[in-house]
Amino acid sequence: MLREIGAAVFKLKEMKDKARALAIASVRENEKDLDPTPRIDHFLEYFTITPANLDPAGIVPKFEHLIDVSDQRLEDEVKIIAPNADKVKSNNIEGVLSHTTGLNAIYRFINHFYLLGKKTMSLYVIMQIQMQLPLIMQFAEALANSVKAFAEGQPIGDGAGALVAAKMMYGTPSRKISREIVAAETQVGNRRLLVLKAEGPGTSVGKPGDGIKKLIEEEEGRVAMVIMIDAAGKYEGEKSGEVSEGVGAAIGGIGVDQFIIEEISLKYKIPVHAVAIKESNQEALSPMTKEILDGTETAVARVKRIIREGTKEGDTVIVAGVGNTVGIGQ
Amino acid sequence: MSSGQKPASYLVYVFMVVVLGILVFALYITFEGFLALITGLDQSATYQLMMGLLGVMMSMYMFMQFRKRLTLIRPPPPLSMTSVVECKKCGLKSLRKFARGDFVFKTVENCEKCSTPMLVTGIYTEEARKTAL
Repeated sequence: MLREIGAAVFKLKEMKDKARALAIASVRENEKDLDPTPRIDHFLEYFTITPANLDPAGIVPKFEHLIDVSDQRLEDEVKIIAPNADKVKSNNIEGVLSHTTGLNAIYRFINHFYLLGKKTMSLYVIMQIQMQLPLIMQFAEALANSVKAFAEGQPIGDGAGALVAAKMMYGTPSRKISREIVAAETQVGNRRLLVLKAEGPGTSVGKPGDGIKKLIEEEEGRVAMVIMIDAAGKYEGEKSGEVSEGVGAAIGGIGVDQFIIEEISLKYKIPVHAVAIKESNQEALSPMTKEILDGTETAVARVKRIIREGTKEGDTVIVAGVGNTVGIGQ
Repeated sequence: MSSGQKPASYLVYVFMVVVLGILVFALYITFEGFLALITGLDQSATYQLMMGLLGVMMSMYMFMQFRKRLTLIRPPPPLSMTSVVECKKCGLKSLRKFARGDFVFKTVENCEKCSTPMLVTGIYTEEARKTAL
C-alpha cells in the first residue's frame, strides 16, 4: 500500500512541477524581462479559509464575499506578474495559476499522508488515503489536463453550457451585466430571449447568479422562464454528450450562485429549467471532445423546444449558459 | 512546457538486463530439467523444472509490473486539436489543425468560394486524454 501511495506521490509531483513550469512559461510569453518564478512559487501555497459554519444562518453572503476577495487577489497577482498581458491572456494565466495551486495542494496532502504513514507505520493512516487514492488521482489528472488547455486557450468540456449560449447569442450585440458576464437579446419563435454567458474567450466562469438576478430585476420579475444549460457529471456507462432535462438551477461550484438564482426565482415565482450535457469529471476539465461539441447542437434544439412548449409568444425568457468559457467567444 | 518525453534513466536498462538475465537462466534450468527427465534422473529433473518454471514466471511478472509502472509514469503524446471553420454565407465547412489564438466565433481567413470572412464554429479533439502533463 505504501509503495502504491509512493508512486502516486511521484506522479503528483511530476504533474505539479510541469504545471508550475507551464505557468511560468505562460507568463514569460508576454513578460520577457520579468522573472515570475518566485511570485508564482509563493502563490502556489495560497489558501482560502472557509467561513465558520457553527451557526450556518447567513453563511452564503460570507462565502460570496470570500470568493470575491479570492478572485480579486488572483486578478491582482496576475496584474503584477504579467502587466502587459491583455484581458484574454490574463484570464488564461489566472486559470493556469488557480488550477496549478489546486494540484500543488493535492500533492502536499497526499505527500503528508505518505510520510506520516511511513513514520508511524500505522495501517489506519495508510489505508484511509489508499482507499481514496483512485478518485483523488482522477481529479488531479483532470486538473492537469485543464492547466494545459487554459495555457493554450482551448475550450474544455465544462464550456459546453457557455458554447450553447454563445451559439444562441451569436450575431447580436452583447453587453456586460455583472462580473465577467455578458448578455445579448435575441428572438426564438416570437419570444424575447435574454441569453447570458461568461465573457470569453479567456478563462472565466463569471458570476451567472448575479447576472440572472440583474436581468430579472431589470425586467421587474416579468420573466416567463429561466433555462440554465450546464455540463453535468455522467455516470459510468453513460455516453458523453447526451443531453438530459430537468428543473432547478443547473450550476456547480460552492453553491453561492445556485442560492442567488433560487432566491430570486422564488421571489418572482419564475420556473427554472435545466438542460444538462453529460460528461465525466475528467472530460469537464479536458479539451472538448467531438461528442460534447455535437451535444451542444442537441442542447440548442432542446432549449428552443422547451421555450416553444413552455411559454407564449411575446414572453421573455432568460437562457443562461453556465461553465468555463475558455476558447469560446460570443 | 515541453511535451517531449524525458530520456529513460540508465537504471531502466540495468533492470531490463537483470530481468532478461533471470529469464535466460530460468529457461536454461528448465531445459536442463527436460534433459534430466529424458535421461531418467527423476528427482533432479523435478527440482530443475520447478526452479526453471518458477524463474520464468517470476521474470515475466517482474517485466509486466515494470511495464505497468512505466505506462503510469510516461506522459501521453500531445492531443491533436481540430478547429471547424465555417462560412456563414455559403455554408462551406472545413477542418484544420487548431492554431494558437483560435477560439469559437473568431473571424478567420476569407472563404475560398465567396471571399467572405469565415468563422471558427468549433474546436475539439477526437480522443479523450487521460493526463496532459
